[in-house]
Amino acid sequence: MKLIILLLVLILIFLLAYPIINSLEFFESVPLSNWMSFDWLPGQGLYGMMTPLTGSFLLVLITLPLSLFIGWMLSLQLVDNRRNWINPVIVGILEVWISLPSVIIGVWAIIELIPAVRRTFGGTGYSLLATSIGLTIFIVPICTLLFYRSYLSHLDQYQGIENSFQMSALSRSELFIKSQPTAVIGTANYIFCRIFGETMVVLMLSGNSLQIPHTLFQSFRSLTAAIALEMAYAAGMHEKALFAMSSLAIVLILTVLLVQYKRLINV
Amino acid sequence: MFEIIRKRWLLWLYLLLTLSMIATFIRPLQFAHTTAGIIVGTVITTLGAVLVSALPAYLIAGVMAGIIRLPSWLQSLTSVSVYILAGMPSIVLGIIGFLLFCDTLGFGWSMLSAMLTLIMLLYPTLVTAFSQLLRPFNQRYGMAAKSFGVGPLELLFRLAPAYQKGKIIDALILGWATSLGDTAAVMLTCGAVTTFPESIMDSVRLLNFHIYLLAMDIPGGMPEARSLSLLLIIFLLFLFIGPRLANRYLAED
Repeated sequence: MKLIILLLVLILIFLLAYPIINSLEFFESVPLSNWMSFDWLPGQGLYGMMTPLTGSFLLVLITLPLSLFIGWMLSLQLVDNRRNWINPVIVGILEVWISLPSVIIGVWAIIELIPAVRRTFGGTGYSLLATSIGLTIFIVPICTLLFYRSYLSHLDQYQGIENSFQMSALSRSELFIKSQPTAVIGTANYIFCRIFGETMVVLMLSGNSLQIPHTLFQSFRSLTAAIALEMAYAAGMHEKALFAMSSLAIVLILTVLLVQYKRLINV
Repeated sequence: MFEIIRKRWLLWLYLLLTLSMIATFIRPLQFAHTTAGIIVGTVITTLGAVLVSALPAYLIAGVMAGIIRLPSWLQSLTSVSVYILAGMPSIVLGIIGFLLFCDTLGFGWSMLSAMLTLIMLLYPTLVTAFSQLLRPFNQRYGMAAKSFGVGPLELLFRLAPAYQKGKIIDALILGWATSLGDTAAVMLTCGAVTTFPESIMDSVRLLNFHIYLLAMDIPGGMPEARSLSLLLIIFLLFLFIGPRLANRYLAED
């Protein structure tokens, strides 16, 4: 039994290491100054990955606080109304929404959101703002349910603390963060990975221009969208550069996950 | 009245937003480009992935629920591998699938490659779902089973399924919904052929990738993308109501 489980774990580790092994040739032959630059012109031998990486980070920077805030507020109202009929309805909707393909959110956003952004702010509508809103709608259900379940699982303890600290200056949210830092930080970590790794919504709404957006209304390209977009026609060193991009994503997410591993397994 | 709205305003707002989103999709249905091959290929690939990944995921869930005892280093390694895989972007899993299954193992763009890629994607979801149902089961019956001489494998594969049929079906359906929902992982491995697949080695276009192509690449494809999205939403709603009914039916048994 131990051998079978060890074998399963080793297969998983091998699978995660496979793109990194495949991109070693790229990292050996292309100098650091080349792939750490902002120029992505594979035809001319320029493989700067910083432009899509910056796009991904900007997206995370806007979407992460937005999703956490809305998810937090929704989960607080769900806990407050846990004996009301609206609670199971909303929880049911959130559960279905979690499994909803991201392309459906993309289709909805192209029909409703992009024209609205275009009408209100001008431009094409395919922008950092539209992508952030679309992605927030996609991420909020996951975020809300994670917070809600953390609340529920620690409700007795939390209620006790809340009752005893009723006269204190701490707000309800501060009380939860202080009593359950693991749940809060673990959820934030997981949501970071989800936003950074989301491909389809970003691919459909960002406009995919290879530039760093200077305003919220400009088009951009994220790391994952770049891989999805160019993989269909890439060959040779261009293809290897895309494998290297995915290795970069693996290393980044591994770092984020392993730094907070002990907190994360408790969520 | 004002007090009720104040207490639940965000929930009402969310409910309204959801209804308005669904209303966007309610238009006359159009199916000009959708073939039976796409539907059948999607069902076979996603269901096959769920059924194949269920067994190893159930075994690992047994480890994480404390039914199967392992040395602490192996236990930690198992948890770490599952949580890392859960956090990986699906496009990265798609790249792994493309490199390993399509390229190195020579399966090419096929249903088999897409299925194997989906197994990687589903594995952490199923492990989490199974361990959530096995942990309380082990706390309740684990010690008693041990005193009757029931081994961990018998507890895991004989007693737990007998007592928790409904919850296991629930977890499998969650896995199926997850596999239906992912596009990025399969778009690099399944290909884009719309004809009826004759074997598992045939290339096929999965439904969610088909919706993406209709919305982005096929001129005038948006009404059909909207129709398929509506059908998928309705199907997922049934998929989530189904296990609850099954739970009730099996509980009455």
